[in-house]
Amino acid sequence: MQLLSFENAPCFYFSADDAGLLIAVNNTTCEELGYKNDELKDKPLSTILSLPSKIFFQTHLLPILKLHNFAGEIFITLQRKDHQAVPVLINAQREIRNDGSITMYAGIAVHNRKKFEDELVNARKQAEEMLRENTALAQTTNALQANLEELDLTLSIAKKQNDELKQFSHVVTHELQEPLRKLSLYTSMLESEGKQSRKFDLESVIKKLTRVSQKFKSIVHGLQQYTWLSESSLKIKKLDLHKILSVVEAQLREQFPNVSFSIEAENLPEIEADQHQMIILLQQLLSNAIHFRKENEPAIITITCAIIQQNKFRHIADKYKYEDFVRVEIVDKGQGFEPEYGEHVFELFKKLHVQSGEGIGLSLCKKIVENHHGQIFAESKPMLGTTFVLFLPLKRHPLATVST
Amino acid sequence: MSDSILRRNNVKVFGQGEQPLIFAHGFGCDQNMWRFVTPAFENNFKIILFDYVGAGKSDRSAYNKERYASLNGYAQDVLEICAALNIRNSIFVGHSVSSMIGLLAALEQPNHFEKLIMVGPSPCYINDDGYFGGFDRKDIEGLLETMDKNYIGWSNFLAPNIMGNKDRPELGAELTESFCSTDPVIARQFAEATFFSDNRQDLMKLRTPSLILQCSDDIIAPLEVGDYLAKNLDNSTLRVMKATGHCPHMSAPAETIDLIEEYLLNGS
Amino acid sequence: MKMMKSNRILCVDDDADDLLFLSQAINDVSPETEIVQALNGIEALNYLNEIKRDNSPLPCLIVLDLNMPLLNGMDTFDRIKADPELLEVPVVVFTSSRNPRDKAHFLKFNVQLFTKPDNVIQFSDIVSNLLSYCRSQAG
Repeated sequence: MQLLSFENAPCFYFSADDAGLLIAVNNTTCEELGYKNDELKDKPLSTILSLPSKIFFQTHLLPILKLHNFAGEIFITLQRKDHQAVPVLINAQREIRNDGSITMYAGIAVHNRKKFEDELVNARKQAEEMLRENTALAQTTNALQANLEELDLTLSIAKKQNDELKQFSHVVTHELQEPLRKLSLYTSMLESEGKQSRKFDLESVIKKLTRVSQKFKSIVHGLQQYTWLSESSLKIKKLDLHKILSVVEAQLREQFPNVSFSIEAENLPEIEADQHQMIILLQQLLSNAIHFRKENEPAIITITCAIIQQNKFRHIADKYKYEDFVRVEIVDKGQGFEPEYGEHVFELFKKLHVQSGEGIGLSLCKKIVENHHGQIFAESKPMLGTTFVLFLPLKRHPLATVST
Repeated sequence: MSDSILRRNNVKVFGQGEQPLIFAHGFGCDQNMWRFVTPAFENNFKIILFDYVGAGKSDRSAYNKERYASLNGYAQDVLEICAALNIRNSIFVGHSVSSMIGLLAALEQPNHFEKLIMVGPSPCYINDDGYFGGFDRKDIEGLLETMDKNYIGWSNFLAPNIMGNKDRPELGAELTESFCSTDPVIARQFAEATFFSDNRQDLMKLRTPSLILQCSDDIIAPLEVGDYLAKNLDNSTLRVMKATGHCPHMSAPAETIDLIEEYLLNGS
Repeated sequence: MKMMKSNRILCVDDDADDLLFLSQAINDVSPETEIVQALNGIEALNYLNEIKRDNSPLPCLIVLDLNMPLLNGMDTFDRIKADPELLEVPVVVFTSSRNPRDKAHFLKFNVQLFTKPDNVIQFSDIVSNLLSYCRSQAG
């Protein structure tokens, strides 16, 4: 019986080594691709692959062969000498030998098959296209998308208002109680004059009463500031954050006349936001950093920004729309605070240090950031300084200028 | 919550070291691509391997067309894994498009990453005015057609009753063993997200130091692209490899390991 | 080693007004009682450690506020309890908190909780209660 010759078999049959060089190519392959018999020997395999198939070969086929030594029913396009494409379906088998490995490729042209498959793929694409082009459907989808965005916004607002209400209740039931009690104590002192054995100093009591009512005033004032931020609707316009920073820096020089501090900022972008609130935001964050600097050291604050993309949907799961946000990082090397207070530091009237101020500044910052549908985080270690990270959307949408 | 992320992305953590070393696969297959490289680092690092949603043995049901149409969606996978594992100061090794995915993740949360190692990276694959990315749009369309027509391991995605798993247990074994399965729909979308991406504007924002491993003769990330990256990435080191092709971690693992080790030893 | 108890009360509170009221009320009833003030838990523990080092007599009572910066009342109490040399010093909580859970928590350790009053007469009543702790130690 005659030995079957693979040279003229009705299929593509060629082999290559691990470096991707062709070792042997059967006659059929050469003829089908328009090459003379010796032209392809030792040439790279990529010579006979179309460009798209070169990519697929590098990213999928080679790895499969390296790990499994076999790949079956792979669709690729070979390339003739005249650059015409030949669609083929191939099987490949890799053999590891002592002097290196060799991969054998066998395949058949699938012009007609390809036509059939093209039809299938086209039919599927047409169906998808029809679905897409159906205008009524498209309109509904658009309306749904807009509604979802608005819903997500409303959820943000609702959650924010709920949080604020909780904080308000806490302030009313706890923070205000103390000054009230003191008021009562001192007035009971005045009442009991004569009934007790000890004489007290009227002047000092009056001073204390004054101090207590000041404390009351400042708590109420803090609450007022907090409320004003909800009542006024945002006046959004394009802001140059560098200019805002200059204004704030001038304010800080007045607020801390004898304190040595420096603020370095780079890459501050333009952002659509409410100018008044942005000034308060930066002013609070920076005055915090200056206030809590280490003793006998100047306050050195660095602000860096980068524009990144984040999902604008905050509450609705499985909805994604990536939009531009600016990531602002404000770093100081001051006193810092215990890391576990990272979230609590934004609560109304929360005080962490002995010489704290009113404790309202950071809660205002959180409110302002949330008014703009951003986020704010704080990280710190005692004596190692504090880092605030803010994410603010670069652009605002018509839906979003609703009073919060 | 973090457990579900780890399962969703088929996350594997192993190794005796302390510093996290994250390997991210790129376009083409899954975490198994790193098989020849990870053993060299097991003693000195905590190795983290994962599959992006839609690849490998990740949870396909978590695939979201909107999210993964953008590289940001993949970057979010990386960030979620880092949060779940409480990662700080890791070394992130990204192959191909994962280099840019790593870059986007590092821009959003720099604390997670100490260094980025980019294997065969490219910020943009399509040629532009004065920029050579390597491809024209029609080349990419040809690639998408190839992705459409290839159903490697596609039987994995048939509904269980069609496969009749209970009666044909050997098919079940096939399911777990398959490497480099491509679900035509998901793989095509990954190809679109990858090859139509343009991250050139993001390069100058990166502060994290990086190593660029450029292969000689890589049609997907040609030498011109490596030069472009080195010019536009602050604090970057470019190393042109002897290896050719696009997957040196598979075709030339020893050289890849050496270059990574050398970079990690010498600082940046 | 059993240390001598002095006629000294340690008052721990960050509020200067309350400390003043308390000290004056105590001295009204018992002028010979010495009062030591600490503004927070850290200061209080520092003082107690100094006493131990110098081998001085321990206070006959510790009056502890709950809401203080740096180290609050609960955490301070835990640390005092954890120190075998301080175990015998009675502790009493004096706080503006009206939360019944706080009272229940300290009752478990046999520690009384007094709510800070809003008039001077009530202050005197509380003080009589406090001084009984010191009298029972005498001798």
